[in-house]
Amino acid sequence: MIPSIAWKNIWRNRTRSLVVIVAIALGLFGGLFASAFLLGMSEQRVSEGIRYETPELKVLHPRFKENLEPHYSITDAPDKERALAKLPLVVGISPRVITSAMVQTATTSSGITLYGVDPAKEKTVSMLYQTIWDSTAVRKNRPSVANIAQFVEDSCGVYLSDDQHIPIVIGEKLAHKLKVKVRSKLVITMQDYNGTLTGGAFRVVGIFRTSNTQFEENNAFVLRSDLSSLMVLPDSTVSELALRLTNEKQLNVAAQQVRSLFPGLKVYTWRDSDPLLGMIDGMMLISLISFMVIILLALGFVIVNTMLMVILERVRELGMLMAVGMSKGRVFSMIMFETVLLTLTGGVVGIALGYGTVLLTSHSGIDLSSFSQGLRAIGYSPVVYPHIDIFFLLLVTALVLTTGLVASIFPAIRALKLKPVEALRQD
Amino acid sequence: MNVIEIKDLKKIYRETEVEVKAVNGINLTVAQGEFTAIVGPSGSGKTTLLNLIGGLDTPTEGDVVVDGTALSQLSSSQLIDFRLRNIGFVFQSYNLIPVLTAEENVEFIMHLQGVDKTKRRERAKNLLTSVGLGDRINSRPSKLSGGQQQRVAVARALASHPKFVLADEPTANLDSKSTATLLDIMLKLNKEEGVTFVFSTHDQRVVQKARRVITVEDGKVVSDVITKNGRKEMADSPQ
Repeated sequence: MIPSIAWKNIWRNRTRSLVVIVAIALGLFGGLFASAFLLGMSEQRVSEGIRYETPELKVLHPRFKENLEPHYSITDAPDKERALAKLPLVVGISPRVITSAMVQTATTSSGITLYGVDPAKEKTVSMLYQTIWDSTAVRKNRPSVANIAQFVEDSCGVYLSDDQHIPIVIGEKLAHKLKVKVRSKLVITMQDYNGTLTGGAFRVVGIFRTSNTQFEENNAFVLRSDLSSLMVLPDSTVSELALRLTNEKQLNVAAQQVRSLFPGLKVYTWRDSDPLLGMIDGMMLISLISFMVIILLALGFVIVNTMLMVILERVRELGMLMAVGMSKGRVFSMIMFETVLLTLTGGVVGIALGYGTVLLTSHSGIDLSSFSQGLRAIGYSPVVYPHIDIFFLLLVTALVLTTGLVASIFPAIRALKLKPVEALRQD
Repeated sequence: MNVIEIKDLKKIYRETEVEVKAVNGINLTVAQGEFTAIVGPSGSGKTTLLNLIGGLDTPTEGDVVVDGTALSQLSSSQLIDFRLRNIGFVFQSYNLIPVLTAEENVEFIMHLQGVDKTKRRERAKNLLTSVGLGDRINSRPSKLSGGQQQRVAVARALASHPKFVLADEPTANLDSKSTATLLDIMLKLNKEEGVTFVFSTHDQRVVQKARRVITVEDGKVVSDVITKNGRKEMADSPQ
């Protein structure tokens, strides 16, 4: 009977209760949708980071990362590849030669990290090849792309293949910077294994486009055989072995297995290789929970204030209830039920609205193309697909319930402090 | 058999330098089945006396013994439970729960006592019928007149099978017709079911119906009279 009275009490002052419910609902809707938006954005960033930029695992000489020094390379790479291929968690292995280089055109130059890869093996580790649009295919299959002319011109060509002659694939940002297109020639200089300056001419075969312009500007890909030959490296020597796993969730297990396989080498997970990406992944959920807690804290004060008004308005009634024999525990629970039900009503509406909106936008995405330059500069895709998981929803529901419970304590204590004789005298 | 015994009861309010003796040494007994009015001018201490009898206030000195239990010996939570099971209250301003129907208001006390739903619903209906509101059991207080609300309050006071009912100026807000109806109902319950009523009042119409009239002035009992009705009642009683 007490929960039923509490529920009826909520509707004694309809306007006031509705204002509180709408405030809670809007607060939660906004908080939840913003969380889903940011979560979607960060998950896309992490997912694209792993797909295109950083392999899930990589094996390096312990000192290679300091200066990309060719002396600190991995020898006997084919043997190591074979050993890695036996690990059940590893599905892709790409041996890479990596060096710092200077890329030049007739008018300008730029410092880059140059990757020498075996195209077929690289495709098992990185999906970068998918970001190069075959211009004919784009025209044929994607006629709805609004700025198709620009798109095709900027991001087109083909990925590396062994039958090409000194091919290079560069990012769209670098292409813009160097003012080059597909089939343009680039001169690249670097140090060989002996420290002698060397270089060669490469022809642009493809321009890739990701959501990270920094990556586009600073990295280029050539055939490993071409790069090894320029750097005077034996074929069995590579800078790193990039790995792709069957399941990213097994990252640490796989890293441990690889470490025990090559105790003298250093194994990096994508979190180690790209700390920013790791931080986005690790911190986002905590940040969003803190964000929701702050929203609910603010709403909690609104609820406490409302319930105090309720108590003040009902002093005589509460006095009567205590006079006729309603125990303090029951008075406390009645106020608590009323507060929790009020909070939950707003909470359920807000969560439903928020989740509904997330569902509506999670497939179509939210197009932020007008901010795409800024977003791509920090590595984010201009189309964001909001996403929320059930764990986060349950957590928010639990937080709403906790807010209701905590917010009820102060008003309920105020009610318990009333003395029936004095309360009954109030007008 | 005495249901209420009041021994040297005092309630003194101290406000800065001034000391107000709201109840100043009252000794009284109220027997089972009485229909007693406490009268006196405003500020004479009637309401304070009722509050002390009902265990809503604590005396400065003396004690109230209800059916053998000294209220001063009970802790605050025991006192709440004691009120629930032994004392019915009727207030001047009805004080019904506005979100509940007449039936639910009466049921509520029994719910607090732990009576099961079927029994409490049946008793609530019977009580409301006995106060003439059998056809208004589903009405909320806002749909009832003042007199009807006070009758619901009487039914609520009786719901817990109390040892006695305390009513503080129950007719103060009622017109003469509603007052007469309410008094008839209270007298009927007193006579037919032996319910003990103790009430404070200013209303001469109520005083005339009482069987015992206790007059309080300056916190003291100045007269305690069995009225003509009371003497007649005693003469009519089998004892």
